[in-house]
Amino acid sequence: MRFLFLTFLCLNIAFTACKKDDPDPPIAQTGNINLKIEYYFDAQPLTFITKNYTVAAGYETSFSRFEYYISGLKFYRSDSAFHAYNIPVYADAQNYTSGILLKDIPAGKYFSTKLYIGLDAEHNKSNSLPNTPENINMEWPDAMGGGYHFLKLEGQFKDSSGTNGFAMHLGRSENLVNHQRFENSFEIKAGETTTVILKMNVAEWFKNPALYDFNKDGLYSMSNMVAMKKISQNGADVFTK
Amino acid sequence: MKSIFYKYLIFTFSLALVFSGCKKDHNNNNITVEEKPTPYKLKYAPYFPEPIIMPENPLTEEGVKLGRMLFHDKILSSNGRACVTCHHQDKSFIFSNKILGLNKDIYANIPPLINLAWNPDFGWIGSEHKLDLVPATDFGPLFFNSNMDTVLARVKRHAQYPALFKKAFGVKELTIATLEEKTSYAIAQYLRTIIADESKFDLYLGAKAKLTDAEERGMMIFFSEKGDCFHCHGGPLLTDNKFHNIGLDNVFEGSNLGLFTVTGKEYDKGKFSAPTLRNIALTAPYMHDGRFETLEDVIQHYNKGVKKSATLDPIMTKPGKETGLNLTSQEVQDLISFLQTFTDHTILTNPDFSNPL
Repeated sequence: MRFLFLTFLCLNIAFTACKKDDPDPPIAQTGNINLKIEYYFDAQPLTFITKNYTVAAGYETSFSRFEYYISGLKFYRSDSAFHAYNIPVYADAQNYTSGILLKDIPAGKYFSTKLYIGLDAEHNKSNSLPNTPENINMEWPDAMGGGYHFLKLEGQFKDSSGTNGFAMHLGRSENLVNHQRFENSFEIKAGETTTVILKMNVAEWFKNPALYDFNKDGLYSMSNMVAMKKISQNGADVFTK
Repeated sequence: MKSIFYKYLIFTFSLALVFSGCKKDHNNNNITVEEKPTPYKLKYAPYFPEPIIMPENPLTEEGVKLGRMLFHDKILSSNGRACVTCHHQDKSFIFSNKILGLNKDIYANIPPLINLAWNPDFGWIGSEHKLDLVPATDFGPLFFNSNMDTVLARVKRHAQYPALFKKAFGVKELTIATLEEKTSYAIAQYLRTIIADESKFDLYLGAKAKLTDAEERGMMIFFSEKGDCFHCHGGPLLTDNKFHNIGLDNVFEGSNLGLFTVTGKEYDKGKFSAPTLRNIALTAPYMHDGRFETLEDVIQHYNKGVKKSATLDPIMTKPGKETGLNLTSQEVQDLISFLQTFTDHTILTNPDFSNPL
């Protein structure tokens, strides 16, 4: 009898010792989004550096850098009901690879998306974002108002004087790009990751509502409030269905 | 009797299950639990980003100790050189052909070996992406000209190294391959501990020091469009760790080809890695070829010496400043004053980095 008891005790310990105390995990009601952003210049897929595109002002233009933030993401289930994703997203269009993971999105069908390009007021404060190399390189100096660059779009263009560089840098809260809501249907399934594709037409940064002409509006926009306002307005419809 | 035997067998099996059920595999890479080295806790300013540590070469107390010894030891070379022959602590570990008087066509001007734990690539043209592999390149004819058979024999005979390699990396029997790899790993670990984050500028950021009027004026130039230094040398590391053509040349050949040498792409001609400006006042001469002797020479380049080319960084071409910043002589001096606040003097004498031999 004692033998049976000891054996039972040992077997019991053996098969229960490593068991976690956690109860069964709750059934997931959320899923994730793998956000992929595709870049076009009008109908053509955007190629950096080696390919020229004609911007609205008529200049042959190539792009060598395009970094920006998205914040204030809202995924709409209906005309008025939405899920707000409040973590800013950093995007580097040139070194873009596998997508950006947005976690814990409630399961269900979504029909449209709204967002800011840049950082909303809550996040556009010096040192408010994690100390990643990307965020550090996007800092907007305190001497110029603090916070972060919303966008860095750089490259070269050709005019009658030859090849020139341009650097469209956007920052300061008054220049946040309040992007209009656009159609974007997808379904999030509980416990799964769904790939959601956004398409940006980079040509729109140079037109609509305002023509952006490097030689008139500036090769370099940082600290040029008029140029930055123009860029901000043009950015309101760069994402398309 | 048979029944007792079976009872014994079942009982023993049960006990074995109890004591073995949760056991981890402690025999990873032939390193036993007792031999596992002690993790090294890297200390750095809270506003620095996470350092880049390769998973295959985590920092350990034993690895850093071994790396420090090897950095200072001529045992690795066949020409009497050690790493420290070129990288002097009191010069912020810079390597300068002008200091050494070596063949300037072969030996480049290397930025200081500080804050390398944050570099995504190494050298002016980023030819190496893992710090862990960089030291091994010194075994070649340019630097150590090492006869590896001889080096191996010397290291194996050494009173301490065999035990240290075992403690740090679990190497039981050194071969040329393990010696090269683990030497490189150990020195990389040591280099990652050399952190410059105690300059006057750091004290200023922590509200523990005030800048002089000149330094403050220089800071405003540095962090505004006037000087526009911050785009490539901003953040706590004072570098964006990216490649730029800053208009040093408009004809690219030889050592001026820059990143093109690695990528072969036309648009990379004349681009070089932006070095950290930490300890910049200590690390003359400047640029990849050491062409500028003083900080004033460097600023005068940005002020009025920028040469236009197809790959010139767009940041360098502002309206009205196409060929330079147009700073006054007072503004140049103010900027130099501010650059001098980046000096971390503690590194120069820190006993943790000194010669332990």
